[in-house]
Amino acid sequence: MKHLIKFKLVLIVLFGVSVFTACSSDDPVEPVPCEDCPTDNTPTPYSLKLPPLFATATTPLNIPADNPLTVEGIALGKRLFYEKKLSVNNSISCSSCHKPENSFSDKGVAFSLGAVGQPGIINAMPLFNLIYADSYNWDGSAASLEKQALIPVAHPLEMMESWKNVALKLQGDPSYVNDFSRAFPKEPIDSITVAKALAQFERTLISGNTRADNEFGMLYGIPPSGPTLTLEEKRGFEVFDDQERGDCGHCHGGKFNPNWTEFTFQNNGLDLNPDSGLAKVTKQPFDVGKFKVPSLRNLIYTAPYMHDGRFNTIEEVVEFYMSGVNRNSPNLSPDMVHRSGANGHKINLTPQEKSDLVAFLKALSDDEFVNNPNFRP
Amino acid sequence: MKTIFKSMMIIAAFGAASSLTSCDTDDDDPVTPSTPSQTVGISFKHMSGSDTLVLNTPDKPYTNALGQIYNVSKLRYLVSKVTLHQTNGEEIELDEYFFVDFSKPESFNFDIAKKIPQGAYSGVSYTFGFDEDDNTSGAYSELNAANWNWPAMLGGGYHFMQLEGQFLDSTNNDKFFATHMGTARKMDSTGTTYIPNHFEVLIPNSSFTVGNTNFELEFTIDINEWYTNPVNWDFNVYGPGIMPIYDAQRLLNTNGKDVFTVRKK
Repeated sequence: MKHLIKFKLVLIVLFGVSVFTACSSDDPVEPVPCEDCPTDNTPTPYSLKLPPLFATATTPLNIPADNPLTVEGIALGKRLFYEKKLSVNNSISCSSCHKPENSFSDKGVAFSLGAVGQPGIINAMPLFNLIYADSYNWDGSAASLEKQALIPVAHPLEMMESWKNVALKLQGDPSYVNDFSRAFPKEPIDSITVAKALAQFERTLISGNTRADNEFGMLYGIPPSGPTLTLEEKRGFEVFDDQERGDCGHCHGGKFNPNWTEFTFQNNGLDLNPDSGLAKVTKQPFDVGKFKVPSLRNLIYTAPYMHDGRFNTIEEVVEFYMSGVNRNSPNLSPDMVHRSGANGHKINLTPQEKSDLVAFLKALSDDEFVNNPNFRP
Repeated sequence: MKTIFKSMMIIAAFGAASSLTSCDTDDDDPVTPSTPSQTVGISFKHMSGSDTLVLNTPDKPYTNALGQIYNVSKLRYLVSKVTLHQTNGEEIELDEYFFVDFSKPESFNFDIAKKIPQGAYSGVSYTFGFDEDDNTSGAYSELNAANWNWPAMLGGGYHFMQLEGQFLDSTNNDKFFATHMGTARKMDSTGTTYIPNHFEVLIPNSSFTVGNTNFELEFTIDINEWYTNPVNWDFNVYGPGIMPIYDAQRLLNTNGKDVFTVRKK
């Protein structure tokens, strides 16, 4: 309740500020000159339309006060997302590893290739519903989308470009000078405004139209906008939700959390000697092996799975949770351990239960999202 | 949904109040004498016996009533209907609920909007978890986002507590425990029933007086009290995966009545 109220207050304050800005005519700062600039150079506030289930069941949106969504900022962010000038030799863009048709992940690749074809060391995460997250990257190393956007450009395994060069390239392109002045009047073209624009575009990447959304939206009285779950998929959700079978919900939520994650960090027992994960950021030994719990949306588009892309199919992932969890991995999540007894701490799903669960997980995939023309160049 | 609705009401009330302030010229409002009142803050403090609780210790610094040593990696809980009882019989319910996550110190302190009249109070009561009226599946967006829901097959609604860590088992090996509490599912020859598992407590020795200063009510939870008084809890028996175990759920209800103390600061 508190969060919501705070959010609304922020909105009210924001609104107040924007009105004030629009009304003041004696601003001493000259706008950046540009060709074909509109006479009214105030960016147009953008109202994000949320799927009804998200508007009902989830928490407020994370939009920083200093980077509100605007029509011009989002359009610029989209252009930059597909812009190869962000990389050395103008070889790759964000979209090279975050492809819209793969829910903005890299198609079938464990480690994406950088600007000169060198492989990375961690799986490119899919991009959707990031507006609900409060940290980014598998290890949580970025506290905001703006901060995240700064990383890949200069990263030696990714785009390998200096931010100074990026700024020079964009400043030398009159159409970018125009776009930036519309989106960020009175601000220079630099890493800050590039990151702000990219973050705005990424915040519009909302995935909320799946058979599961249609099914569970009905619990809130929301009429389904398309097909609901099949009987097989409904059985799969029962497996998912049952602590004596899947017990997926402690990390991935359930029918009332359409994000299908709490955005926390857990060690799911992949390895006896796991990668550092969250500990790389926190420097705490008890965070070794913990990685961001990913959403379960759009899995059919985002293989391979896990932070190192070690599993190629959803079936392999389910089999891992059934029989492959390394119980001696440090800082293992207790949710990986089941009640002792005949099962010996293992989940013994029947083949039927396993295929039902996989069917349900696939029903969390959003065809409309991966085909949305608004997200394409 | 309820929370959203309620906050919208508050926003609407805000709007009404501010427009009233700017436009109202009517001076004829009757002046009603009111008792002077104070603001109150609520805080939560965490102990295991006489030890201050610390998360993620490499050793096992805590000991339950059976002498089993343990540490804690997670503690989240839900308290609702915190109510201050005036000696004149009036009751003041402070807020809808308090959701505390021991890994987030910002969740230990709550500012209460309601003003508390000066005077004598006979005590403080609370409900651990949600009662049947409040334990509505999906109704609280903040709790949904925290994966706090309790599975429908176990009766639905929300978790009341998640207390997790490792203990040294009877064969001297590290084992996990995950003391999760919520609605208790009972399955027997007559079928399946769902037993509400919240409890309401008037905290003993919780009387206080509100003078002319603002104050804080500090709740202290002693997690060891979940595991004793009256029944000693054996981590070897009830370790992880106890949500569907009826006896474990009801035992938490039995043992939990004395987990909180409260004092005015």
